[in-house]
Amino acid sequence: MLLTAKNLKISFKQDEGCVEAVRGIDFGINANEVLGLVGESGSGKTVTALSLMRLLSGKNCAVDGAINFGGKNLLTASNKEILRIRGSDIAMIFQEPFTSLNPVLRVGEQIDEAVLAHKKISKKDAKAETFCLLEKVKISDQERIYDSYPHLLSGGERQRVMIAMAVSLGPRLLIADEPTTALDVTIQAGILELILNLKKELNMAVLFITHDFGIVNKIADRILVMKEGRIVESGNKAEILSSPKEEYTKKLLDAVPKLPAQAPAGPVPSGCPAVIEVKHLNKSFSVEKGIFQKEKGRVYASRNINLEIKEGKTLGLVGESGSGKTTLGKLLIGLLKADSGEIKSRTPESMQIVFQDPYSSLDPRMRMQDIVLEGLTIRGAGRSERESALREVLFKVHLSYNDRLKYPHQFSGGERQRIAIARALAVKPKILILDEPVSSLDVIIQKEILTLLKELQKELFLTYVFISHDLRVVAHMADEVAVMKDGEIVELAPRQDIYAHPQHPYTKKLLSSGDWGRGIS
Amino acid sequence: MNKLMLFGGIVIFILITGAVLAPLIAPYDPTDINIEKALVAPSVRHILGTDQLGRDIFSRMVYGTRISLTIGFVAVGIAAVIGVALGSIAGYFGGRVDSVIMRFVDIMLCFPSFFLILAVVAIIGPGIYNIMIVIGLTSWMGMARLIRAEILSLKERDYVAAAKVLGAGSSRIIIKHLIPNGIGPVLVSFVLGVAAAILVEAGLSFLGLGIQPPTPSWGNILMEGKATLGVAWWLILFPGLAILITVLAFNLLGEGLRDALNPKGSE
Repeated sequence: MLLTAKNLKISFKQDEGCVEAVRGIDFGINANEVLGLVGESGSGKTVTALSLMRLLSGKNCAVDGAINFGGKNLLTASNKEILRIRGSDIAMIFQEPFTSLNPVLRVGEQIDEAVLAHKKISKKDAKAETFCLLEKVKISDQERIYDSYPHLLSGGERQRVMIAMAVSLGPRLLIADEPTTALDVTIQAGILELILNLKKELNMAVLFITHDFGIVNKIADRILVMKEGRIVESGNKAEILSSPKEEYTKKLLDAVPKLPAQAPAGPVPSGCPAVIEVKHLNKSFSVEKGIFQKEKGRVYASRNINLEIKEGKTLGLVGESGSGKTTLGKLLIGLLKADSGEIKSRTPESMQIVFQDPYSSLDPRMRMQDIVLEGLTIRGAGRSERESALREVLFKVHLSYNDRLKYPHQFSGGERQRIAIARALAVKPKILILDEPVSSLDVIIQKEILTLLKELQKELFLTYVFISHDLRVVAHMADEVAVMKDGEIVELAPRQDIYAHPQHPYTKKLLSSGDWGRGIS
Repeated sequence: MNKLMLFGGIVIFILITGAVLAPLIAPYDPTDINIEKALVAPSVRHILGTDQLGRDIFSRMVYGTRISLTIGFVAVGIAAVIGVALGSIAGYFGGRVDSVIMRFVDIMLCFPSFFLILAVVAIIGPGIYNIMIVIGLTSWMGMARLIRAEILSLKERDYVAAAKVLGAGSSRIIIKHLIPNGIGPVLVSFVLGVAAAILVEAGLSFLGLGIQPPTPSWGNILMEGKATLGVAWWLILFPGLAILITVLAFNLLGEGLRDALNPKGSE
């Protein structure tokens, strides 16, 4: 065993007593293995990782138990020893590579610094080593990356730079905390590949933290499943994926969105009337630079978009970040004005929208009932009308009427998304724009919300525009799928055709890189 | 809650109670002249002494609290209404509206405000209403900038977009969604502003352009004491201390509020 943790307990002092984040867990990491630590948000997986690096400190936090690494207990080792171990023996990479890089220092200098912190070599040698590292993480134009500031790099490049810094001293253990969650699927695959290759090359172990069983399936040798600060199940990957013992693990596995194994037969939506017709729609934004805000160029977010959205059906709008899918959603609903082209809608008044982040889409200073009823209040509805509408719509989205006086922060992420859906439904729309409605939720909650949306569609005969970066999720929602890239729709076809016979190379690439769910029963 | 903030809060509470209950607390009529007892040093009958007309200083100071606090709150209230209204309009609408309003703010900030207040009061005449209005009209710019900055970031939130989609107009979005969420820093600035306004009033009264005798205010008690400084130290010391402690209390409360409202700033 490279590292063993015994009876590890972590608790945080808060205003109202103590919160136990980790409640006594035991686990070990073998040399050269990838250990997948899986759990939902709040399960304690990230604090566990931070405690291994002894990055949890302060008087409000208590860490108890023992962490053995190379014959030393990391929890009682002196600060000097810990500083030596960090970076050279144990290294870590994080979810958000942008906030982990200093924005005012060139990327190359930062890697030099990491090298110089532990090795007594000249600056020139450090630079040479940095180039070597950049090559190791498969960055081809090292000169450019070395001289760039972090904001000029793409998300994938930034994560590669972070990995280069992490492995600069050849650590024996790499802790990766959701390193691909913020990245597009096509980039994700490359980063996972890189981590696996480096593991072999450098003979290191990897503790890979994620909420996504799909990724675990691709990368891990062994799996730990965490829930509410406890390890509920552990074992070899094959064992857990094929025959999970715990109810919770089964539930997690079941909730992982999967690509349909075969082209699912669905009703061909061609017979339905169109509620929205989009013709030759264009939208661009100007890019301004410098203190005089001179226009330096234009970004084309929508290029010659032609669409028909059919009544009672779901149109899936799929693309990676920057593909223009959110812009198109905002154009449809009128939050943005198009440069040219037209949007013909049969019922322009009855369109509503649900956003991705249920934390920023609800006004934190309003009570739940005021949020849900805002549309009716604006329309001047009377007291009794609002009261009955509130009961009805809360019942539909499975929220308790008794919670109507609570504020948004008193609800969980899934409940907040239900509130956002209720707010949209309260004004009885015909069409809902769903802009990544489940992307920021845990898988189990994701599944609940998707099921709810399907129920509502059937019950209220709603038309959905479902925007997502995840083809797996769209596979279960959409009747028709439009794949977007750089502001253009590169492929538009009924669901079964997209998944069974993708035509465009980009669609094929998206499908192959997102296909990790396969193999999970 | 921070201890210093608690101290500030308690002092302000005592001051407000004193101002409200002034007729019950003050042992004498603050304008009652008694030449025989002029310039009596602090004693049991006159705990803070008397002035050159024999008026009881403690009574005058208690009534002076009313004037100081009223001017502080009303003047800053006027400033807050103007500042929040203009700042939120500038922040929400942006573009030309924003440029015009914010350049006006810049222009107003160019004048040294105390001299501007002095000049205006000299022209329109002293008096409690004039002073409150003039202080209010010259101290709203900071609040306008604060709320504008808040609104610039808040207006990009999804809940604002959701409200637009539901059909909410600009005024509803500003009043219902943006101002309640962005008012925190203005609240802090409000409390700090009260302290500043009390100082300005004291300064004006000291220069003879503020509250006119015989109405007592801390500033004009100080001014009247200036003539007899050599023989009656109590005429200067007590009103001076009152101003000091009050301004300190408001500043402590304001700083405490700032920390409480900004979780990133606190430890």
